[in-house]
Amino acid sequence: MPLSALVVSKFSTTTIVRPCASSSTVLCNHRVSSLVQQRSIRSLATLRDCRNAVRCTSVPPPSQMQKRNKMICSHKTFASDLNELFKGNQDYVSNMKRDNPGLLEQLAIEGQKPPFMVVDCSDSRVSEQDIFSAQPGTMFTAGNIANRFDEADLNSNAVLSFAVETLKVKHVVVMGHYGCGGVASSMLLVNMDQVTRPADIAVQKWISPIREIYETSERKEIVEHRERCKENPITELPDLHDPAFRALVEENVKSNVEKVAKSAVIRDHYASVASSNGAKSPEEEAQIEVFIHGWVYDVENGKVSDLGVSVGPPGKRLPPSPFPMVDA
Amino acid sequence: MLALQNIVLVSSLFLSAVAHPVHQLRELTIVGRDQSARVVRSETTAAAAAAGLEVLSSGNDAFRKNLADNDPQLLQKLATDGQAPPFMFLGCSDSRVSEASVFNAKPGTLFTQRNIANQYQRNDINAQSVLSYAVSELGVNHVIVMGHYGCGGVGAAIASAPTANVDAANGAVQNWIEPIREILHSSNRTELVELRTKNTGLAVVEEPDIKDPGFRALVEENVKASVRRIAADSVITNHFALLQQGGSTAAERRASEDKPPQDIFIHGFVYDIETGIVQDLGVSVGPAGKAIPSIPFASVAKAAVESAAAHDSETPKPAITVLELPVIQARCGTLCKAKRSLVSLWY
Repeated sequence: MPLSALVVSKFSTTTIVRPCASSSTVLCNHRVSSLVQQRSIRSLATLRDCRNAVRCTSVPPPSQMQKRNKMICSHKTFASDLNELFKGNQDYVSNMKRDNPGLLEQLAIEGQKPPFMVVDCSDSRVSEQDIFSAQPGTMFTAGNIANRFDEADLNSNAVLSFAVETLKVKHVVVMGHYGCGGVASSMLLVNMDQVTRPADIAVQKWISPIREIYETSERKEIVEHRERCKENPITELPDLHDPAFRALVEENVKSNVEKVAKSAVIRDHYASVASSNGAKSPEEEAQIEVFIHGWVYDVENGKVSDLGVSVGPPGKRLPPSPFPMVDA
Repeated sequence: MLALQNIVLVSSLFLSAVAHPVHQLRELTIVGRDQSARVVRSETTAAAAAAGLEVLSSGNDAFRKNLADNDPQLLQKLATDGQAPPFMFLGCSDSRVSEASVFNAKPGTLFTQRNIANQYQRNDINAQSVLSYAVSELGVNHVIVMGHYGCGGVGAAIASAPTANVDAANGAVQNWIEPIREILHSSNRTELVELRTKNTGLAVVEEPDIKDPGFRALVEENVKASVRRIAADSVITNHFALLQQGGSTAAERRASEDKPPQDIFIHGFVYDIETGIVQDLGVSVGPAGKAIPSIPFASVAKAAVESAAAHDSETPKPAITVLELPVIQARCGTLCKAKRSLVSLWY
């Protein structure tokens, strides 16, 4: 096997492919002297990580390796991230078999029939199935920055359309969360002429409707913040507990609930409920009714609150909320 | 006769009690009567709807209790420190494919865009803003595009488009899945060519069965197309260009941390909704000169061969497939070499 230099350093680094002691499976080990000079090697892994990556359990124990050499893999960070995901997926599969045998197959054969559609934030701390301990098949989800809905956005409109028309969900939930980065960014003053990176342009365009809410809202906390910023514009993102930030998170959710309710998809749907008015059987009516709710998730404690802005088909009673109202 | 009626009435009451709380309208039946008395509709649906929502509040209680028992500091820490997810995830809106569950991942792991059929389309500011924020603000290490077999959006792209009664909802979905139709019509992949040939001339094409090879192939090709589009997107090409200039001297630094731009790898995975297993499509892309990290997920091609064999021989399919030795050697070989030519940004 050719030995190739992994890194140029004072101590030579070698890559050795060696036969495994017990099974004679050939493995690749990355061996670098413990006194590596080159700093561009990122976080080094132990033999265990590499071993897990190749799933060979017959690698000789470290004590048998040359003592002064550490086993490293220059891709530890990246490889070990993926390994975590892989292990997580394995755990998921075995947990499912143990706790819910047959559920996945049943959902695959019968198709999904979720009672809920959720519009939630892309934020990595907000995963809807987790937060509600829901089983697979419960929530049809649109995930984007700051849980926005806009009819003009084909992406979110298609999700709502499919959910309401084809899947016949009972509830559409718009769920925001305190500490939302997208909402926070919309509170910072920005000169669009100075925004040049494609990444920044994309994010600014996406959150511009939230900016509009910030600039026009009559809610006390937001008005106060606006007044203060006229003299002293903020240069840093607001703190998680800033009352204006929390208010804007809530107002953003309310605005999106309104946009969902006013969308052509929902208006058509409610029109068909109104026109049926007793002509359809209870089952058919129940199928086409859909309620829209606005909730907020608190990232600090995992609690969900209701904003009290639910909308339903005209003439139908709203279901009582399962979550406490936000004190507004 | 009356006894029989009683039995029927009682059993229908029992059935309605165990039926799905949301979809089933309860019919009150009074034993001994000829006809049942119907409860006022709106109250019943409100009750049924409320019952559906209560599932969520008890679920949320369970979530919080579980965290309090097992990891009480987690949420507070994430709230105070902010999120630093290693992954951006582009997945389908499908209710059976929730990313944190499928990877058993803790909060703070996956920054997510979910839309119908996990598409990354040009000119879609929704997905692009998620990618942008992930790459330039959060500094994710990986972008994962994950499709799934049995995807309704992909199935709808195979089926004929509705011609009559196209309302706003239908129109939106059809527009959104148009790029998948294009892949179907232009791909040279064997299964897709066969599917096209089979369907030409048919007046109405139905959505195919989940096991249909053409359907599965289109799910995979759709993921690959999104991986390609992400790799070609200005957000990524810009980022890779910054890396080429040598990170520490790069003029632009990520706003959130005072660090140089870091490597990002884009991967294409597919999720099997029948088994819960995630597999790799082997189309990963990275910056020029960097080797792709070893991917622990089984590769799709190999798994397909195995499952065909398993179906033939009736032996139980292994739940997880271990990477083959030549694959391991090849991957380790790439990691060991000092200079590596770019795994092509093929197009």
